Amino acid sequence: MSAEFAVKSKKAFKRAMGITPLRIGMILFIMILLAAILAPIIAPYDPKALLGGILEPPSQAHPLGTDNFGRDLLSRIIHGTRSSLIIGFLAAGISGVIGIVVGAVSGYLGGAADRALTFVISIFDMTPAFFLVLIVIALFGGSIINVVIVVGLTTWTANARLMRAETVSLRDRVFVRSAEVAGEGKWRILLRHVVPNGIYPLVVNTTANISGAILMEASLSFIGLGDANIISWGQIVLEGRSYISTAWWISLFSGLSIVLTAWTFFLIGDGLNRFLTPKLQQKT
Amino acid sequence: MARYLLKRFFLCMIAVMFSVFINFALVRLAPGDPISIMAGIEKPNPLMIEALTKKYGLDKPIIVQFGMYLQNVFRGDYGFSYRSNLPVTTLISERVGPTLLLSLTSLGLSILLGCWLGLRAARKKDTLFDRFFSNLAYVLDAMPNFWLGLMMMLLFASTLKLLPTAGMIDVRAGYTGFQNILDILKHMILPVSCTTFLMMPGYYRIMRASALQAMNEDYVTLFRAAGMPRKQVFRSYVLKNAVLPVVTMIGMSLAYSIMGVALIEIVFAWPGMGRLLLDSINKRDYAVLSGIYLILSISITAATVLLDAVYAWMDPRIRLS
Repeated sequence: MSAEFAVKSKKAFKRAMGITPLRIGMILFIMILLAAILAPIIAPYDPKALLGGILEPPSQAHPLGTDNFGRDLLSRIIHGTRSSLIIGFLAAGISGVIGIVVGAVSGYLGGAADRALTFVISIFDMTPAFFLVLIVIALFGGSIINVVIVVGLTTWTANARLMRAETVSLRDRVFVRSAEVAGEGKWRILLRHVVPNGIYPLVVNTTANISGAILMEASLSFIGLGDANIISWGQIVLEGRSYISTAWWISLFSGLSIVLTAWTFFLIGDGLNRFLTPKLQQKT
Repeated sequence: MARYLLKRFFLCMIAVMFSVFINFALVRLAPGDPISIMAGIEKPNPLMIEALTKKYGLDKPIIVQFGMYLQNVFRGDYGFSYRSNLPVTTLISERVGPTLLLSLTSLGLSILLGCWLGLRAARKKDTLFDRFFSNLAYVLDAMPNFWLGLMMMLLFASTLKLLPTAGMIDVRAGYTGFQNILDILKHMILPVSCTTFLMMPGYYRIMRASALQAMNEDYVTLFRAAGMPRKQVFRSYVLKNAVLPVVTMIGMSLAYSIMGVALIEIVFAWPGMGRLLLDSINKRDYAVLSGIYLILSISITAATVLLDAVYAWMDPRIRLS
């Protein structure tokens, strides 16, 4: 059994690594993750230390230069990886969980409950989410927890739509029907049979949502609504904005890290999509 | 068709009510008392407190308060900015022109360019052209729009000095007439190209995917086998079917596009609503923030109804039902 499983997973791994976007995405992701975990070790300086030389261009001592307070930009960017990943994963996670619950319940129950929940989804889709997030942060403060919760609460609709569609198509399949006949409870069926089988499109969408959350946090920080207690790439871009014509490196490199990270998750999402739906690869 | 549109209209009305409710609830849930939030000042004077209490019925039960709030919104009263001593609607209407100029130009350009490139990519699937633009679409998606704006400003305005850095007009030159229009156009190039680059990937991708799907239909194969020229099949049968999802996409991406426009306005100091938004955040002028949110919600839902009508008219399956 375990030997067979090992062979199978080895085969799957080989196939996954054959998909270029997935391979590149995973390599980049591992690098970004390592940077986040090992930040204090690999960062050349303390990201908050004022080192004296203000707005120094990139040099051997400071590969990416220093900012307007004389802090080492490379160290700040490496430490910024942490907040970006935390926000991205948590916000996408919240949005995924809400999406699964709403979508699965709506699709499985059908009837009036389904119509009501679909209605709620359509209404959420029509509200300008970013401005809602902005108002909430302006009123309640931009702590990292608030950002995560609000972004998660405003981006779940696509997940719910996907989960609902999957549930509707799984609902009448033989293995679900036989579980019903065997007397399993509704919630148990949903949790054990429907959700695990219908979750793949959500995995793809959630990966893309990680990028979305990272970009949203960057935008909030750029407007000045970020968490002042963390080091965030969006905030570094904002700090660099005032010195854009003289100290271009501040905004350039911090922005590039946002692009690279967001791109990584888009690549993984695209790759996973191809991995999980092999038909797609042949047809389109 | 009338029934379909009526249903959509009903949905949109509920969506507006939902936005109004959220707005109403947030002020009451937020730390601090509603009066000082709405006044935008730490210690409002007694007269102001009295006026606000009366206007929003703050001494009455919460249901009555919501009713009064709703009444104000439907009367077109989105609040009063005590910071600027002007009604919120006046503040917004002063800024709405530049925003519309910027956003509609970019929207039109991104639809045209995105669809054109998407169609070409679908016809030349798996060629260098297709691969290049499909990958570029991902990179553009991953780009924070404000950062792209800053970088283009750095390159074209600060370094190459080809284009103006910020604003909508050159105040010092004081152009009039045709020269003024030229001046505005020159100031528009950078912000418009930024927003266009950011909206384009969505249209590119949906056009490419739906054209590919339409090209895979059996009737297309049949027409080709019967000897109809490729171009005619494409124009008369593929294009018509492929363009419908694009209309849906416009509606779905409106809310998202407006966020991009707001950020680009902030970067280029474009005198539109994005700028107003930033000022209101910095001044903690909540009345304006909530006014912008409400007006945007209403405009987006109105645009959605309009697009639904266009869609229903374009799609015979709905038009004839």
